[in-house]
Amino acid sequence: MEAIQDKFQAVVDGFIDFKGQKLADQITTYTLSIAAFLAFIVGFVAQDIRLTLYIGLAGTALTFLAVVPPWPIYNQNPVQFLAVASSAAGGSGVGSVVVGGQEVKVKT
Amino acid sequence: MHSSLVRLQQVFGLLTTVSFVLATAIALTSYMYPMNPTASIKVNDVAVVKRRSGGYYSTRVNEYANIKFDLDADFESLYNWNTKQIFVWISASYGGDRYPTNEAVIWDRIIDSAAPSKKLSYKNIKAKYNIHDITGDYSHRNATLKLSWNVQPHVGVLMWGSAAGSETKGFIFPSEKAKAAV
Repeated sequence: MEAIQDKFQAVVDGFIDFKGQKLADQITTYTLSIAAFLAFIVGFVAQDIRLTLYIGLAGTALTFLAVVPPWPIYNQNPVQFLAVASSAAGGSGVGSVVVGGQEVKVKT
Repeated sequence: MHSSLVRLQQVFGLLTTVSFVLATAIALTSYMYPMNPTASIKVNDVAVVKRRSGGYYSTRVNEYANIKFDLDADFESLYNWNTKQIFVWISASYGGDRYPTNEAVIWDRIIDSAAPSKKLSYKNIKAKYNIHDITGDYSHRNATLKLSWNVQPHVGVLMWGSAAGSETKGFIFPSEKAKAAV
């Protein structure tokens, strides 16, 4: 039962990783802007404002569909957490991380 | 953009901005099309009758004028992709001693963009509205008719104007039952 609840929660939350968030943001900006631009041009050339409305609505629907659900493409770079080093080393309270090629001591 | 709800809000937020910009662009295109409709009106007959003004219980008597006229008009230039409908009307303007500026609408019409023809041609039609003066009395004043228009767009501001050359020669409101000399 709990497993089902967790799964349901995951679907509702729809968490994605950091790179996925950047990608989703870019997709939102580009699809909405391009749809609006296309809608304007097509409507203007055809002299029919209904085409503008329909193309704009279609672009909006497409954007919502592409960005809102947590598609697998947005979860390809999950955050890599560090191993819990200090507790394994007997609780010395000091661990080390490599940052930019240099080893740095950290308190854990 | 972490969770679905935040992404939903983000897309919606950008959508409002994009729609606003798009609507502004559409509204601005309205100014690209020159609007110069033409119309000519010919007054055929002006009749003035005396009637009780406020209905059954009123004892006040007003003069009411009804006008018959010909109309030829071409509103093609008012229609572009952003025109929803136009409203056109003919008004009578006349002077006066106590109230020097008077204008009253005698006829109007809505023509939507789906109408098959944007030209009007009427022969000897009767004004839709009887008009009466605020003083209750026309006393042989001189009047002219002209046609004005109003464009109602899908997006943007209303546009107003009057058709070039639509103003008629002056005519005199006649006495009751008498025919106007037009």
